[in-house]
Amino acid sequence: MVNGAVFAQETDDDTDGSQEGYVTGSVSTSAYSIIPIDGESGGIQLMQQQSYNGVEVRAELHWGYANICLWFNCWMQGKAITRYASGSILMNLCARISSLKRNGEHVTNTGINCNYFSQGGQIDVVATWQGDPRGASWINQTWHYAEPYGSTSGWNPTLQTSVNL
Amino acid sequence: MFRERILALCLFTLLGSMLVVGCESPTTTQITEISDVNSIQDIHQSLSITPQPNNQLCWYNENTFVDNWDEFINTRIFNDGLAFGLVIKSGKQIGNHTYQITPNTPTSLTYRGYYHSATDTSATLPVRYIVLLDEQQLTNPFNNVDTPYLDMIFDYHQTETFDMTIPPLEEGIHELIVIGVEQADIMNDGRAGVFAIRVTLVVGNPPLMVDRTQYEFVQPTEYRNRSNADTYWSLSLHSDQSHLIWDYPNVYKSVADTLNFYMRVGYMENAIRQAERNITPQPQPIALIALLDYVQVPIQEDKWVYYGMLSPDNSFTYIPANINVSDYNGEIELLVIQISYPRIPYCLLVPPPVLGQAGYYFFFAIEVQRHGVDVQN
Repeated sequence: MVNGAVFAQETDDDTDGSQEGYVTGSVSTSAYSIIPIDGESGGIQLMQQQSYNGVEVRAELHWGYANICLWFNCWMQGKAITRYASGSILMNLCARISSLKRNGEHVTNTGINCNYFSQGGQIDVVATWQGDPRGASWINQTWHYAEPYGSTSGWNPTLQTSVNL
Repeated sequence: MFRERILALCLFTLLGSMLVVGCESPTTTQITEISDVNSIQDIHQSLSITPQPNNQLCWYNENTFVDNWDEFINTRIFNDGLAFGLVIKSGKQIGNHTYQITPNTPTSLTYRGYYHSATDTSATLPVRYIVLLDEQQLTNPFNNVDTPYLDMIFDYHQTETFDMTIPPLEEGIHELIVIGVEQADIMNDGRAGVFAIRVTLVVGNPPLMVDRTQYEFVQPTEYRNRSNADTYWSLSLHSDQSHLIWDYPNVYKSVADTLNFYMRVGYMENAIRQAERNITPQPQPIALIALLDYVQVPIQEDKWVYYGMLSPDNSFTYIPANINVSDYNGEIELLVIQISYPRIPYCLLVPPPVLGQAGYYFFFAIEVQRHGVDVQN
C-alpha cells in the first residue's frame, strides 16, 4: 500500500523491463517544509515545481521487492537532490540524507555531498538499505544547503518524504 | 590540495596531543602547537607549498567575496523558507566564513533573515536563537536582551535583523556559531527546523594552535567494514543502546532527577571521495553540548562539553549523557548539538570554488537534535 504517495508505480508486466513479480515504486516531495507536516507516514506535501530560476530541492524514496527476497532484489533507497535550475550567482550546493528511518529506527544516512555551480547543475546523494521494505513505515529526511559563495549566508531547507508499504 | 594537507596536519597534531596528554596530570593545561611552526606563513613554508597571496590563511578573491544578499533574496533564488546570513561589522573577511578580528576589542555582528513562502503570504516564522563561542553558550550576546536566547518572528518577504556583540577575544582562532531553532511542536524523532551558521574569527595574527587536552578517543561500538562502508550514523539520541530513537513513538521521555540517554555518533567522512582526492582519512574531532530550555547545561556530570575524536573505522558509538534535572519540573526541551572540527578554520573545511579543482568538503554541518523531556520531580 502506498499511503499519500505523490506518484508510485507498480510494475508487473514485461513491457517496461521489469521482471514478473518484481515491484518498484517511489515517492517524492519537493515542497519545502522547515518542520515536515507530519511525523508519521503519509505526511507528504504535494510536489511543487518552481516556475522561476533558482534552487530546487527534492527528497525521494525508491523501493523494490520481489515475491522472494534475495540479497539483491529487495531494497529501500532514500535520495536527496539539490538542483540549481539556472542563475547568475556562484552557488555552493549541498545535499544530504539526514536520516532514513524504518518504523522509527534510524537505518542510515549519508555524509555531505557538495559542489559549486554558476550556471545550473545538480548535486544528489543516495542511501540504500538492503532487505524487504514491506510491512514498514519509511521516512526519508533530507538536508539541503544553498549558499551564494562568499556572502556568509545561505538557505538550508529540510525535507521529508514517507511511505507505508 | 594544500588545504587538505593543512587540515590533515592539524588533525594529526590533535591526535598526537591526545596521546601525550594521557601521560600528564589531568589538571595540566596544554596548548598544542604544530612543531616548529609559529605562524600561518610558517605552516605554508614548512609544507613546501605556495602561500596564499598576502600571507593569508584562506583562499581569497575580492571579486568573489562580495555581499550579494540583495541579489540572493530579490531574485527569489529559493522557493520557501528562511534565507539567513551574518555580517561581521568589525571584522575583515579573509576567506569563506572566516574573518580577521582585532584583539581585545568587542566584535559587532548583525544577523539578517528573510522569510519567503511561495504559498502563504500571511505566513510567519518564529525562531529562537542562541550563540556559541568556542563551544560555550554566550549568556548575553544579543544587544538589549537579557536572556541567553533571542526570539524572532520573521514576517513574509521582509528582511529582519538583530545585532549581537561578542566580548573581546584574546589572540587566537575562535569559532562563533549562531543557531536558530524554529519554534514548532517537538517531534518524536529529534528533527527540528534549524538554521545554523558558523564563522571562524582569527583574532590578531596567531599561530595555528589548538587546545585538545580534553579530547578523548571514542571507542567504536560498531567498526566500519566492507559490509557497512556506505552506512553512516550521524547524531541521534537514544534511551538505550538500540537503534530506536529517544522514546519513540512518545515525544516526551519521562525522567526524574537525572536525564540519562545516549548520543549516537559516527565518522561522517566519505572514504571514496577522500581517496579520489588522495586524502588519507583522518580522525574527526567532535564537540557535543546540551541545552535545556535553550540554556547550556553540563552534558556529563560536570563536563560542559564532551570532546571526542572519531576514528575513520568508527561506524557508530553510543556516548552516554547524564544531565542533572533536579531543578526542573514538567515538560522541558532538550537540544543536543554536535560540532564537527570545532575551531578548525571554516575556509579549510570547505574548498574554494576553483574551476577544474573538485575539492573535498569536510563534514562542516552543525547537527542539532531536539527532544522533549517530562521531568517528574
